[in-house]
Amino acid sequence: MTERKTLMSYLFLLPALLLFVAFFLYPVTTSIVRSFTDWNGFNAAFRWVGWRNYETIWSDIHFWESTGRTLKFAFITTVAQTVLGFLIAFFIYSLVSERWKKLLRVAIYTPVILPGAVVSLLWVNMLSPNFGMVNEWLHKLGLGSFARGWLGDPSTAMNMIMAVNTWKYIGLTVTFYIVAMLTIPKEVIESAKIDGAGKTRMMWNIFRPLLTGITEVNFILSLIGGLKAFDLIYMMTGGGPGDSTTVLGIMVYRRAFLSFKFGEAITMGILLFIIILVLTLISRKLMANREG
Amino acid sequence: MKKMTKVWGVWSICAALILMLAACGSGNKETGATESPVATNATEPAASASNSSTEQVTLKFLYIWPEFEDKMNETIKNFEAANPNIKIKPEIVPWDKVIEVLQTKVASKQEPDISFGWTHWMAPFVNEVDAALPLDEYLNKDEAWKNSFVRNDLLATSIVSPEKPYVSNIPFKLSFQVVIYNKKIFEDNQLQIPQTLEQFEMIMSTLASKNIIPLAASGKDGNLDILKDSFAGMNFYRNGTATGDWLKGEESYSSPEYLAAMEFTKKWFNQGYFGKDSFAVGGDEVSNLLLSKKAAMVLGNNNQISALQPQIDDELGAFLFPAPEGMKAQAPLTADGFFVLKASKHPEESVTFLKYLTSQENQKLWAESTQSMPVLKDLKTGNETIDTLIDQVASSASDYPKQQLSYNPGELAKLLQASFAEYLLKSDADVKSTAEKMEKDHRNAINSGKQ
Repeated sequence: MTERKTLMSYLFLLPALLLFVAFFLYPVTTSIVRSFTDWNGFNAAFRWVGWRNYETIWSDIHFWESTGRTLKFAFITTVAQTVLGFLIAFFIYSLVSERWKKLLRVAIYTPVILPGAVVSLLWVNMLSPNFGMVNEWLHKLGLGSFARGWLGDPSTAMNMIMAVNTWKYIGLTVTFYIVAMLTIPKEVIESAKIDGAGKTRMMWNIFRPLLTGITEVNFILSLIGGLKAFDLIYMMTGGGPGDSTTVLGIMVYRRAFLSFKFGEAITMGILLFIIILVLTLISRKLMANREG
Repeated sequence: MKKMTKVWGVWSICAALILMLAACGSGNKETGATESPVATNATEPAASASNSSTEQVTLKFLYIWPEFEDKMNETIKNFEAANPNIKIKPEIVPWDKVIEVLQTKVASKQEPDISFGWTHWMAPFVNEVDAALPLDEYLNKDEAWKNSFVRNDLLATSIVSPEKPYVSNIPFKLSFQVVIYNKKIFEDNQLQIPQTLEQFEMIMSTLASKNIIPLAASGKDGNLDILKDSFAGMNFYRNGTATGDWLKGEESYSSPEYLAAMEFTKKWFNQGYFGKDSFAVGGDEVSNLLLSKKAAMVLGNNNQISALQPQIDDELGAFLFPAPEGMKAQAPLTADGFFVLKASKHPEESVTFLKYLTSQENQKLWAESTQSMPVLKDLKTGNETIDTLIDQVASSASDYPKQQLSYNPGELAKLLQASFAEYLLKSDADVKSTAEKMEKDHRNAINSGKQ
């Protein structure tokens, strides 16, 4: 009877296992294998080239410059999303009016569900130097000297994309925080209030420590999202002007679909995966130490 | 009973999953590129043609232009009526996805018989993938077809390397850089179409002084790089220095001709001739500048004229970018064209379809209804702008040097664009060090392509 039960449980696991093998294990293994080949993405045939792709990427100055930009993008957007997300969530949580709470929650989450292409077009138009709303408002407010081609100036292009990225994804962070805030026992909050804690003290001494777990989740999710950034950048600047917004995702795309060097593109993908893994482990470790 | 149903349910799901996985891999047992049934087809077109007259053949046809689907269907209908044994099965993809779609199709052995391709962008399909069928034999067998094209160098634009010196693509619609201008703004400011680069510069100066953007261009989409390369080409031609490395696309960016072209483009850029912040402006916004009459001219492509004209009440015109005094205008001809895949089992029939696409009858149909620029000489469309441009193209210099790239310049073009953008945007950027950086990236790209 026990044997039969065991067999049945394996049988029930089989569909999930098949899916795992077909859609995760097989592609990952194939990718790792093909990173050692000169596969061009067109033909089934390829040659084994050993570590050559890794050597090529390792010695490519453009790869390291893009890695630097990717890390900068990921860290700034992660910090901005986490800090602002927490503050906005606390603000919404503290509102008395249920109607406003609902409205703000929906409003802040809406950009998350908009496709990246739509968000990009929206902001490209708003930031346009000739027809854009942003410059028009700056002129109306008497701040015309600040008006510029936001996405055409290397000193502002990356900052603008980081701002748009934060605007698009902050709704997710806020939602996670609000859900977590709702799980904090009312008694704790009431006690703090009775002890005379104001909003700032409550936020810092009650909410922040009790939300460490969700902060870790938000931080890691934002970090991974930032490291994988592609669609917004591709649509908004295409990696320019110059190469000021060329991040790793853009380089991988170009290497694969413009140079038809899928072997090298996969190698970059694997290196990006290693970077993400290392950073995730480091951030988990740091947060675990803080909790400890 | 319930238990039995569950067990059977689980087994059915597993079986379905296994079948699904197996199905994904089926029909693809060949190992691919090394096997080339096509090579035989390429060298023996007559042999496969012997079957063609009797057998019913279906050709898979991949093209772009969803906006002209009705027109292409009409073309296909006319062709099928004239060739009852050939059926065309079309598939449309957006122009900016055609490479990826074709790539996936070739990789999965589901390639079409005939595919869209740019005549000047065949290197990936000829050199790297070896997927395009050589067409010289078919052209040589039909001299009238071969000699029907607007300029004798047009077919040669698809020859990509000395190692594979064959025509691989048949042009369908001409595609080249033109200056599109607002005739009313020109009239209001008593301006004439410039015949020389010097006159062009004076017109731009006049327009700029009246706060009209003279020549809106997108730095973001690479317009300024194309312009700079045109200037360089003119300089090389004038000095008779367009030889050797330059022709092979292994150019020396540090040559005086190239440096002068970079500096000349920067001069215009600094004078604001291309509009405000042209690196923040994409192709659509450039068009909007012309449509909103903020710009008098745009640097564009001949195929844009038909799309822009209905959106503006002023009449638009177009002319070739003028060359310096004493030189003929340069029209680096490229075309939207089609090529036959080597893997096609019906090369003869595919070529028959290509011939129909470039027939007088079909070219006229497309020119009249879509304002496409025909590829045939001696074809009058009745559209003044198109006919004038065709005449200009026919009389433009065909002896400007042409580069034959044996490598795929896609990613390299982006790197070069980035360096040139930095040079334009930084006021203190040094032209020589920028050129050296470009040269280094270029050499690296060529060397990595040779590995």
